[in-house]
Formats: sequence, C-alpha cells, structure tokens
Amino acid sequence: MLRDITKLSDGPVSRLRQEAIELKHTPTTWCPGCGDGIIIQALLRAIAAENLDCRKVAFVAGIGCFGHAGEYLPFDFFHALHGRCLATATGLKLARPDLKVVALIGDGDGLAIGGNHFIHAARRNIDLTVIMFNNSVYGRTGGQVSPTSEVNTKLQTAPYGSIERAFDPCAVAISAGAGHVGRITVYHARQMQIMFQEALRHPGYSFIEVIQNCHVMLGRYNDVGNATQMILGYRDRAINVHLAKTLSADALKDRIVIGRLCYKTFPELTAQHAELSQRLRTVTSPRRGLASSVAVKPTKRIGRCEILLSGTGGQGLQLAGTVFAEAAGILGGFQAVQVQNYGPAPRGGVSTSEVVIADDEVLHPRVEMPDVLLAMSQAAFETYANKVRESGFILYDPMFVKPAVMKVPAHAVAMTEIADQLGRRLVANVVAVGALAKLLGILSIDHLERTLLARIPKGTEALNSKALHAGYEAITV
Amino acid sequence: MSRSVRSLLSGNEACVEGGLAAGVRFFAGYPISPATEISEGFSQRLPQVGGRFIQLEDELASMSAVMGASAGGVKAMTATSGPGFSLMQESIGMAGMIEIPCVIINVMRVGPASGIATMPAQSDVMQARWGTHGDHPVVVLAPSTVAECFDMVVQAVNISERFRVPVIVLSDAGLGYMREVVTLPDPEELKLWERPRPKDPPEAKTDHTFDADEGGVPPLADFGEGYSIKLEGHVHDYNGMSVTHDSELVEKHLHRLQDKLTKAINEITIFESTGVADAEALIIAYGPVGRSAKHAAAEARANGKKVGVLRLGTLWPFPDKLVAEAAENKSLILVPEMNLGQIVGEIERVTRGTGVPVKALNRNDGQSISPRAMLEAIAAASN
Ligand SMILES: Cc1ncc(C[n+]2csc(CCOP(=O)(O)OP(=O)(O)O)c2C)c(N)n1
Repeated sequence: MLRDITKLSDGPVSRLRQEAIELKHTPTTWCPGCGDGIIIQALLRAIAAENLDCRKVAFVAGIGCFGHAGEYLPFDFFHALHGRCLATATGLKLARPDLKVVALIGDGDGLAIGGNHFIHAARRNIDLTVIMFNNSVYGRTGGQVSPTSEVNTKLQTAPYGSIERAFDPCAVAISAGAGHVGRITVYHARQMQIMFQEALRHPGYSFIEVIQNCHVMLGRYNDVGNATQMILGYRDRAINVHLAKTLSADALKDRIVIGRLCYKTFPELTAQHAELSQRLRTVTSPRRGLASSVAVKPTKRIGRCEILLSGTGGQGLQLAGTVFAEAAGILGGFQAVQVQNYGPAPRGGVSTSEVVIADDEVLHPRVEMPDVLLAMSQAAFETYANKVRESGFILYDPMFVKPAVMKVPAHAVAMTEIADQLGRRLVANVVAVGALAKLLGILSIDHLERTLLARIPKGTEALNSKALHAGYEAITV
Repeated sequence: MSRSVRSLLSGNEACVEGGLAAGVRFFAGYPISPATEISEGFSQRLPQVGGRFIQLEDELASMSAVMGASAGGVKAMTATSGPGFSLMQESIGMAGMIEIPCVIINVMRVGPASGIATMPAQSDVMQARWGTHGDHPVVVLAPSTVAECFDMVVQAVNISERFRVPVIVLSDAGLGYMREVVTLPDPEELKLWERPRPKDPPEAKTDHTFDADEGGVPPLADFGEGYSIKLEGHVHDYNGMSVTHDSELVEKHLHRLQDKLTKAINEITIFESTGVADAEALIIAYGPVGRSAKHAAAEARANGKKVGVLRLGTLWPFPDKLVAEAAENKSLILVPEMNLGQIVGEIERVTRGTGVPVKALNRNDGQSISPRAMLEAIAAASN
C-alpha cells in the first residue's frame, strides 16, 4: 500500500522510518552508520514539511550506494544507469513538468561518469532538486578514488595516495550556471532539512552537496575514525557561509563552508518550453512544394524512366530533379524517386540529381543506365554520356560541354545563354527543365510549371515561367 | 473524409511524420549526419503540437532523457547514426531491462568510427541486436522505401508500447536523404497500440498489480499516477525490487524478457514475399537493397528465370520459421547486404542441414547493390 507521507509528523526518526520506509526493505543495503540514511530522512522530512503530494514527487537516482534509496521510498522511482541520473531526470521533468523531480547523484556518479550531464543540467536551469551524496569515494565498488577524493587519500585504486586534485562540486555547479547551490554535512541534519525545503521550493535548478561519511570504504586505509568520529569531524570543520565570508583563505583551509552558496533566478527550462508551445499552438509549418489529397491516374504508361541531371554545384540541378519528381509523382500520377548528389562522381564540385519515374513501384531507386542525361559540365558529360541507354538521349549546354560523338542523340540547348538573356544565369536549370520536358514527352509543361512555382522564392515567378517556356520552345523536333 | 496527403518526402522527413502520427510527443537527440534532419523536423514540429524537443549534450543523455520521458507516460524517441548509436547501447539495454517503451532510429552510415557521414551501409544489423550487454530484448525493423519509413516508425512505436520493448529502426544514409512521392495516411485512421495499464487503481495496488499478462508483458503506469512504481535497472521482480541472490527469479525475469517477444512473433514480424513459392533462386534482403532485389527478380522473370524475393522488414527477433519455409527446395539463396556479411549468418543457421546453398553478396563502399550485380551473382552460382 502506498503511504501518504504528507501526513507524517516531523516526529522521531524511528516513527518516520516506520511509516515512510516500508519495513520489508530493511535492513537497507547501507553499512551501519552510513550517512545515506541521515540524508534520506532529512529529505523525507523536507517533503513532508513542504506538504507535497507524494504522488507527484518522483525520484531518479544514479548508481552507487546512495542510489538504492529510491527503492525504499513511497515515490515513483527511476533507478537510472551509472552517471545518467540528470539526463534521465531532464527527460522526465520536461515531459512531465507537473512532477516534482528529485535527483540523487553520487560524487563518482555525478561528477565523473555523469560530469557532462552535471554541467549541462545546471546550465539549462531545469527545475530539478539535485542532491549529491558526496562521500569522496566510490563506495559501491569497494573504495576506489573519486573526483572528490582529497589528495593523498589512500584508496583501492590509489594505493600510494591519490595524486589528482579534487573537484569542488558546488563551484562546478555555480560556474555551470546553477541558480541555487548549497553545501551541508550529515552532522547538520536539521539544517539539511531546511536546505532541502528551500531547494524543493526553488523554481529552477537546485543543487545541494551533502558531505557524507564513509568510514567503511574511505576508512579502509585512511585513519578517519568510526562513523561518529567522522561526523563529529564535520561539526568541527564546518563554518557557516556568512562567517566564512569574513575570513581569509588561509583561515578557511580544511574548513567546510556550509549554507547557501548561491541564489539567483533565471527563466526555467520547462516553463520556457511551455511558453514556446503556447505561442506556436496555432502555427503550422509551411510545407515546401506541392501536396495533394487527390490521387491522380496517369494518362499513359511509361514503364520506367531514369533521368540523370549532372553539372556543377550551384547550377540548380537538385531543384530541377525535385521539380521532375514532384510533377511526375503528384500531378502526373506516376511513382517517383529522387536521389541527390550521391554516387561515383568525379572530383571537382560535381552535382548530380537522379530521378526515377515509373508506372508502379519504383523498385531499384538508383539511376543505373539513364534514359535521359542532362550534362551541364564537361566532367558530367565525360562521366555519364557513355552510360546512357541505347534508346535514350543527352541534353547538354554548349557553353560548358564539347561533346564527343555519341551513339545516342545529343541535343544542344544554350540554356545558360538563354538564362543570361532573361537576366538571371540562375534560371539555366529551369530552361533545361523546359527543354527536357519537350524531349521527354511524358510530363506536361503545365504540371512542371505548377510544381516549379510552388518551389521557388516569391517574386521570381514570372522569370521562372519565362525560363521554363523558353527551354520548351528551344526544342523544335 | 480521409485526409491522406501525397507529397515528395525524404526518408528522414517521413520518419518525423511517422513519429508524430504515432503520437510521439517527446524527442531528445544530438546532431549527427545523416540523421540530423529527423532532429530538425521534430524541433520544428513538436512544439506546435504541445510536444517537447530537446537537443542534449550527447547521445548518452538523449537515450536517458527518452526513457525518462517515457516513464512520464509520453511516447518518446530519438534518432542517430553509427557513432551515436554506439554511445546509446548501454541505455538500449536499460530500456529492455526496465521495459520502457522507446524508439531509436539509426540512419546507418558506412564504416566504423567516424566512417563516412553521408554514405549508407547496413553494417549495424548485428550491433542493433547484440550491441549491448546481457542478452537484452530488442526489436529491429528495416524500412526499404520512404513510405515504409513512415509506416515502420508508426509500427515501431506500436510494438514498443504494446510489448514494452525498445524498438530500433534501421534506416540508412541513402534512404534518409532519398526523396520519394508518397501518400501518407490520415493519422486519424492509423491503428495505434497502447502500453498495457494496471487494472487495479493506485489505492488498490497489491503485490500482484504489476504481474505480467499471458504474453509476458507486465502493465506499466505513468509516473505521477500514485502507484509508486519502480523502474529498476538491476534484475528485479514485478514490483521493481532488485533481486540479487535468487537465481530462480533472475532466470525467470531474464527469460521472460525474451519470451514475450517470441510469443508475439507474429505481431512483430513484417515481411514481403514476391514470387517465393515457385522460385528456383531466392533473394533474401532488407532495407533499400530489398527493393532492388525485387527489381532484379522482375527482370529475371521477364527473361523466364524464376527468381523470388523474401524482403525482411523485421530483422530481430529473426523470423526463423518464415525464412526456413521460404528457403525450402530452393536451388540457391542469395543474400545481398551493404556490409561484410551479417544477416547471411542467420540465414545459414536457419537453413543448416537442408542442403540449400546460401551465397552472400556484399558491398561495403557506400554504394547500393544494383539488380544487375544480384543477377550476375545468381548466374555465377548456378553455373
Ligand atoms: C558504466 C558503469 N561503469 C561502472 C559501474 C560500476 N559502478 C557502480 S557504482 C560506482 C561508483 C559509485 O560511486 P559514487 O557515485 O561516489 O557513489 P557511492 O557508491 O560512493 O555512494 C561504479 C564505478 C557501473 N555501474 N556502470
């Protein structure tokens, strides 16, 4: 049965444990004296004191000793992969902004393997309450060095004492842009609860680092004392942030500065997303090109027709291909495929556009033996002319192509020159489409024109129509 | 009145349309060619329909966020290519383990490491199945046309939701960039499958509320409903409590993850068979190579040669029975793949001992396999 922890009093710890943590889960995975229990109890008290609806509180945790907490608690819980807690929590919170999402991370989990998510979650200012269980050691795996282990700590993977400097998690969070950052230790259980309450209330990213004893794993080779001694050590070393501000760096050496280290507000991520969605509610993206809800029947059968448009990048061959495919497929009732700029092309900015048009399904989607080749560069001609099917033909631009003698008919249309005369060299491709349409005879010039006009920039319609018809007229067979 | 629309779309664009039509309202991704257009499409469209798009810091984050969103009850997906797909593997296993619905599109590129970003291959077929540790469950679909990109993303979402399993859609750079005139169905006419829900209300939750159904699929509640559900990446019982020392429970759990797919094989298996019954030579192919195989078979038939095609839409779980039956009495099975030979091993396994020769035709240079190459391979093997 789900327990309503909002009804919990701020009573004795034993009662809390009995009511909130299902007894069947005890004993927990944690070693006797572990700080994890102190942190979780403070968190439960904070949730109760804030009167949160426990159905709307969700826990996400990474992997480490601390991560097991979620299993014991009466909340929805996602036990994410090692390091992925904050990314998982980000997805959950973004999808379900109505939930209060509490993220539990470890020092190894959050700062080593999950370090990237640690900085980006802070930067995004997503409304998560993030609690780091910082025991300065990899507890779960038996006491290896962590990014927060102090120099000279002897650990399973630092048997001669750790060499690397430690991270200051709060400093990392603040510099990554976290708005609400605080540090506390397991000695300060009451203050911890208050800090958790503030974090839960903060409408944005909150990060609380809890310095925590691990007398078992950290204590293996280091003289840290037992649980009580370690925790009392935190009492002795702790100094309130306000007081700390009056002291020199030297005086603060070896002290643990506790309290709220940063408080700033920024726009919150899920709210920004909601706002964007609200703004776009009535917007639909304009569709490029034609779309039709009527199925057209083709007026004749053509079998399969492979068209290869080739020249130099910038000549507009992709647009030409698109216009053919769209006119054939949407207005002509055929099936059509276009494949762009892909294939064994010679070097030097060669651009190709393949179009396959067929009565029924276009099976193999590539042009293998073109029925039609448009060559707008010498390289294009030389690469593809000898691949043209016997029954096919070539169309080329004499400004760029000096054709060899071919077995298949080769038609010259001065497309670039015609475009120049119309005032824009850019429409040479459209002249080519017009000429090809006439030679090909399977697509109506009307359909091509309608397709073209739906694809080009506004204001250039007249020029494009002129170019299309000029190409069409240039063929006099 | 039906509101189907005919337009020219790329494979990547069709994936976006398919996702939206299937009800996907969350997408997390990290840019990578040749899959970037899928992210771009969702970034434009999702906010318009009240969905959420987020570009995350990497693919590890993307997959994790997708799972997080799905836990919130929102249909979620991501898209990537080889390098990103490799980074997602641990999370794909996680999705299988916690049985959280999600769809991953891998627009395959050629080569390991950075490969070539804009050239296609089919070289992630085995990775899709075995890329993550621990014998995890997964479904893998391979579309061959732009229209099928739409259909299969819808189907992927359906399968993923219904059977609580990660579904991978293997597209490729050729298909992703290819544009094809397609008629997209009216989204309202699509059949959408939903994830199984607990029958007991949260107040009446018992130790058996999350027991699996006969098909082996346990119900899933959304976060925030009050069930206090546990999504646990360790081996766990139906209530999400990790089990560590109970081998019987461990085995039961891990077997069920596979069994639920075996039981659903008919609902999961998508295929197309063309002239298989009377064929002498059979081509078994998938993805865009599958349509080229149909081209080859049509050409062969026109020349009086009996070639058939079994085109696999579902690659995993591998449809053993379907393939074994199609292979019966064939004089040759040709398996063309744009890789160094992956699914061919499965076909050899399934046909072992039948005496039917299986021949691989591989190409791994970013180019498609032409129908002519297939016919030549059949001719060479028949001589
Ligand atoms: C990808 C991956 N690598 C390594 C591990 C093994 N592992 C489990 S917990 C852990 C360290 C946890 O340390 P920390 O985050 O400090 O938490 P603690 O156990 O100390 O509470 C490691 C390395 C893992 N689960 N997954």
